[in-house]
Amino acid sequence: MEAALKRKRFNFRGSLCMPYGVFMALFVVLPLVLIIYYAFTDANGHFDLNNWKVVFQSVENWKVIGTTFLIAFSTTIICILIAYPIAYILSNKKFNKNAVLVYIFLLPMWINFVIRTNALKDLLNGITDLLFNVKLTSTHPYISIVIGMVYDYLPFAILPLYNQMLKMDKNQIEAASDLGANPFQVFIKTIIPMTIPGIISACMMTFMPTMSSYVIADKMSENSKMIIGTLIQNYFLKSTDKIAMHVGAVLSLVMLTIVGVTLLIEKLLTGKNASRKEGVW
Amino acid sequence: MKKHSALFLIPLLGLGITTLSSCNNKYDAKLVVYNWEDYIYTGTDELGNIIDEEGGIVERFEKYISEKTGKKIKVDYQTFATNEIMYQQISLGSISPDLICPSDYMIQKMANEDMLEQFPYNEETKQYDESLSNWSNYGSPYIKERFEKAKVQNGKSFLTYSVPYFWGTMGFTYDPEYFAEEEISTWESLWSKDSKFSKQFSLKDSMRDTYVAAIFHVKKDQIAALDENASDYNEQLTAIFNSCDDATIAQVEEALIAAKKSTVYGFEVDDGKEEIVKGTYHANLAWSGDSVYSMDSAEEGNPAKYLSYALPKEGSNIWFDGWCMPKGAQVDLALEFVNFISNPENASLCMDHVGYTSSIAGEAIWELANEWYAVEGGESDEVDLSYFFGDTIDGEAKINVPTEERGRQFDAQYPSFEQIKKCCIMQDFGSQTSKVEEMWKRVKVA
Repeated sequence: MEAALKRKRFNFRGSLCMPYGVFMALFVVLPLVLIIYYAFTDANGHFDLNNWKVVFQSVENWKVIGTTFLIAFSTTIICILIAYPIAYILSNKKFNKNAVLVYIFLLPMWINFVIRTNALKDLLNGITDLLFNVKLTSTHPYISIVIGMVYDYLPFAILPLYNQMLKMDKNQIEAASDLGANPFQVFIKTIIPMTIPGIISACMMTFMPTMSSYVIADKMSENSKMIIGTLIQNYFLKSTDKIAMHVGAVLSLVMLTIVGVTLLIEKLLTGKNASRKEGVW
Repeated sequence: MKKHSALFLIPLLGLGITTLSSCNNKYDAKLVVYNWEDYIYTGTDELGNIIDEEGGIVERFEKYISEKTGKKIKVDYQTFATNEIMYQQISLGSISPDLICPSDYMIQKMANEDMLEQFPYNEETKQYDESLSNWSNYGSPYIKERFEKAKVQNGKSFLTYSVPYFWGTMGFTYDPEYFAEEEISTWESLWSKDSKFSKQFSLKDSMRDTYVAAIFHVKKDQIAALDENASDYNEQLTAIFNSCDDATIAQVEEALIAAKKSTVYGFEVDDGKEEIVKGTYHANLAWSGDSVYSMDSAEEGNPAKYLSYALPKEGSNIWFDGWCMPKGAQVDLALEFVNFISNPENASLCMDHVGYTSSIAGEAIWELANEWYAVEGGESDEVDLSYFFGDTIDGEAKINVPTEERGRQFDAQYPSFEQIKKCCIMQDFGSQTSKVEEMWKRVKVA
């Protein structure tokens, strides 16, 4: 009797997840299946690998993928370099008594990013026009794209680092300096190792969206450069070619694979710390 | 677990089905119209506030049909952003509208691929039947002639598949304080070595439109050799204008990459009409209607600024958007709608609201043009628009436009006959499309 009751209760709680399951099936699994279907078929719905050939034979596509990687890497590195000291300062109770400063850094995220990007574009062009008589987004599109990406994704880098630094053991730092380490050694030998999980998740949080977003790149380069997101968008929305959607699907899978691999790398790097949890299903 | 999940789904599904079915049966017929964004009179202002008690075209049409036939119909009005999206959606069958409003080259492509129903057009008398009497009576004779001459693959004229709605040209919106009119009214300005031109042009982020800019440059010798007074001048120019053999594509690519590295500021399809007002650059490759928008909003700005529109002297593109019926459309109701919107009264409401030039002539449109542009006295030029209005109005189609307003809104909306005969209709690239799209990608990546 008691066992039966327990079983019933478990079932009820599990079934509360059903709406979520339906949602996942409809909006995550089904679109993915459709993308895979499109990637491996031709315009008539027959199995065909030609789409893959089209994608990988084109020199331009490789260039675009390379450019995207370059932009994503530089954005990530610059974000970490800027976010690290900021997070360190913010986590220091002396400077940031009520955590108000953190909100100041997160505040821009409350405004739609397209509006922010447009504003940044005008601001940047205004400044460079005044100083050097050029408009940066037109003359140096790559630099502008990276500036735009860094601006938009900086909060994503600050937050995980900040959380990690709050958890830092201050005694270790004190011990290191008591035992004769100079400030540089303290930083290298204690602070960095203690914040590595934060660095890794900050990298992920900036690298993945920079790989997949295209609006910032379009705006900041005046549509004169392409990243992989723009390429996919063009295949889906701007082409009347019969196989365009199928080629676009292949590129979507390529991007998905890149993001998947980065996630896998994160898992491998932080794997030791992650605790296994029982699934609901 | 599994059984439980199925049980949970049933009420959900049931709910969905009942809500879907309960909203039917309130009207006798439904007409699905799929049009460009901001391309019809809505009876509302920019913020969506109702400013016209009688409603927009959609509401007026519903009322018109109920008065005429006693039937209650519903117009499901939806919008698209580009020809290509609309084409993909229709060819995939994800939507099935009764009326669409694509551009010329897309009309041609869809007609060639047998995706369109035919209008009741008689190729011999060159007339529609009774159902389109408004277009027959008030359609601009010039637009009729251009559309009649343009053919699709099976030899039938464009008018068989489409009834023109709005039309316009493509040229440069420019700042006359920065560029002189002579400097800018040529496509060669895009390839100028002068540092004044450096990074001053925004082009369209649309392969088909930017191709036009380059074709006049790479084919300039051939075009200069044509005899402007020949009776088939426009046909010859159109043939060059639409050439897309491999060698031409390669030349166009080279020209566009060269321009991109020197005179081109960037590419856009949406924000150029605002950026030119802000002064981000001093020349914007623009469709005439967008140019009118830019000139209007620059004038209303504080401080007011005066922009101009230049149609390049070598010639340009004349474009049309026309009503078409995709296969499977409700032809009768769709014809009623096209005829209704072709009534000069309704056409002038749309033209006043949208800012593009209607393909309809007639008194109401003539009055609107006079209200916008005509002056009495002062320094003015008398312009003859009889080529466009023909005998759809009483009296002569002559209008007095202030001299200082020339090269601005009026000339963007009604180019002179001399200019317009050098404007060509775009054709679909057919089997070369994918090659041109690849070329465009190389230009963008360069």
